[in-house]
Amino acid sequence: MSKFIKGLCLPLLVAAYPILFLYGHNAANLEPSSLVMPLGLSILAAAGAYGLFYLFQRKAVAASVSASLSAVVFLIFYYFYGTIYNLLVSPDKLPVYHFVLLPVVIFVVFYAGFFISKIKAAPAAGVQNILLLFALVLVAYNVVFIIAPVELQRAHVKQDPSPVLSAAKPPTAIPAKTAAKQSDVNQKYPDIYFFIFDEYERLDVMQSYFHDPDVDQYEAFLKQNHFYLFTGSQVPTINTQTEMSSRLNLQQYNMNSDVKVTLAAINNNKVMQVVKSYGYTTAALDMAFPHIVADYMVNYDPSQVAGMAVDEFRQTFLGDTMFNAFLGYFQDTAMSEAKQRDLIFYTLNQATNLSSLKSPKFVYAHVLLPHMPFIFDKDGNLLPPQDNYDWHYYMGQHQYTTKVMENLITKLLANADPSNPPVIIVQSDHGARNMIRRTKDNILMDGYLENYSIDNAYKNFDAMYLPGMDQSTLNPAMPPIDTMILVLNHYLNAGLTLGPAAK
Amino acid sequence: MRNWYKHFIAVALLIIYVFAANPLYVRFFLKDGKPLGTQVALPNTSKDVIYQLGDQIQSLRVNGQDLYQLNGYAFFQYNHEQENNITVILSKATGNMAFATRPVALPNMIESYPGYTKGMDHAEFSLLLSQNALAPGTYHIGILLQNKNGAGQSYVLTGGLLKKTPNTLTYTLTP
Repeated sequence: MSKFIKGLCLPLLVAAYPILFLYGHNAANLEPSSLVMPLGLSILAAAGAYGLFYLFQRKAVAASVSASLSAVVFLIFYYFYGTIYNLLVSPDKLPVYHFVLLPVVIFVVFYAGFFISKIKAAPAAGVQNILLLFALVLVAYNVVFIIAPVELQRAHVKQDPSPVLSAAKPPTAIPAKTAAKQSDVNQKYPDIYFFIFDEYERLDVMQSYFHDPDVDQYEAFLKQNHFYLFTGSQVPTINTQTEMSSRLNLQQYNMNSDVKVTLAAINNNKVMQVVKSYGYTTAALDMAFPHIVADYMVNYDPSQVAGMAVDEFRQTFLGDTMFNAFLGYFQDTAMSEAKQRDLIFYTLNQATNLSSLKSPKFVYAHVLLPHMPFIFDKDGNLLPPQDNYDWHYYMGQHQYTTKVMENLITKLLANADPSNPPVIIVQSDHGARNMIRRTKDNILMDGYLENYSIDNAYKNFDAMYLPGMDQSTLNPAMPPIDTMILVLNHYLNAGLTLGPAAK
Repeated sequence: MRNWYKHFIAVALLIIYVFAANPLYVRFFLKDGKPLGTQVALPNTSKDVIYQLGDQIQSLRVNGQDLYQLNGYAFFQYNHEQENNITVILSKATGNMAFATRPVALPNMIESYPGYTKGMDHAEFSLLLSQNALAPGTYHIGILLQNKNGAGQSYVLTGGLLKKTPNTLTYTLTP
């Protein structure tokens, strides 16, 4: 019995390792619940394979050892099935069907097990022990790697205010809560709405590359509603986490910054702390980083947003393993599209219906639009699933996003208090990145834009409604990191200094 | 020697399975998206048929089958409200295949026709296609209309093209 259990340990550890590795390297962005399905299924697959091989090889001299090694071979094919499938499909020379490939792979694994069962007991046991040791070390290392960022985040939340920021001294002078001027106590501060539309391209690129005919009309709409358009706005990175941690903390992070640090900086950001010190009620609705600490926060359930854009961890697992063959049973694309659409509108509706929150309020909303998946055409109709990851449909989704923005702005201005109108910031984190993607069947898609310069991705959209501010003083090329400095200095007299990017 | 003979049989069976699996799947398991018949005798092309095809095919899963769907409408120019059996013909140099269509539960495409009346709703159809049922090649899409309640049939070749490679199916619509 003990030999049977020992034999089972190796496949279980080998099954767990890739999942833990992948999770560990994304732990800061993932919910622990994301781990359950991939880990559970892989462990079941490993145990099942071991049991079957043990049954077939029970007459072998060292049945548990050969079953254990055979199960490891199975797991190698299990984890590389998606890659094998993709390698065969990509040249498009032969038809590849899962109902053919999967039995062939299982046949190969079965024969590998057969040959393993012919290996003499002593060398087989030696190999098993070495593999067991390696697997133990790797799994243990990754478990520590996973626990570490979780603990770091917990510690960060407990020890606030902002140890991460104090470790990396910000270049700006942040006023302490007690520094709020006494004379400001009775001042009527405006509500501040800060909207991030993820991957929304700057309008000049929409005109020059995409030939979007609606750009002029949108520019006219913004002008008519007294928005200032920062036509030369550019970002130093095209990574959302880096960008938003920078803008919300008034200091520039870069691509070398530790993702755990930037995530913690988003969740406990300096902007929220500053406005809070001026008596603001804060609200955070972030579809990508749902744990921003605020008075009102929407905690997106990972199962709610698991459909398309966010839970790439689960998608990667399903796409790479033998479950690739059963992908259709794990996801219903049309349902995922509807779920994505509902979440986007839920976020926008919530963000514009916060009348119950005491003013002044600071509302931060980050919407995954026009970010992939491309689910909308220019009129807001849902696209066929095969278009969801094809960049040629970016423009339609961008055009629809423009309409959504217009409605949003119209609604906010219509509900505004004329005696104390709100500040409205509508920005993107970066432009269109035109990234190569795979279909749900893990097929490399050719749906990316031709002759598209990556420089365009660094051109972000930035428009602001700044009541009472002299627009002639504004710099159309102001870097977005200075957005909140501009707003907080003007409306709150916060006394912040401009970040280094502006200099 | 006898043992190796078993292995030889196992490998031979696997090879047979590899080549026979898809035809067997299409023949016995696939319920939708396969042709009604091949080498269908067609009348000469007619100018009496008004038709429109959707500008894209949509992949969808129906009863566990991965299929493609193409919508469109077709009716006789001089008898808009006549009920017809609508069959889609995919033809290439080596022959043709006939695919049954099904009526659409909530027709909306036909509403774009300038002379639309409610009685024309049955002219909108939906075609289901399975990649598994098509050999690689380029297929021209035609529509065969047959009067449901009497004699008379017409055939029209559309500007739609389906290109099937071993693992992909793409659709283009030329004016």
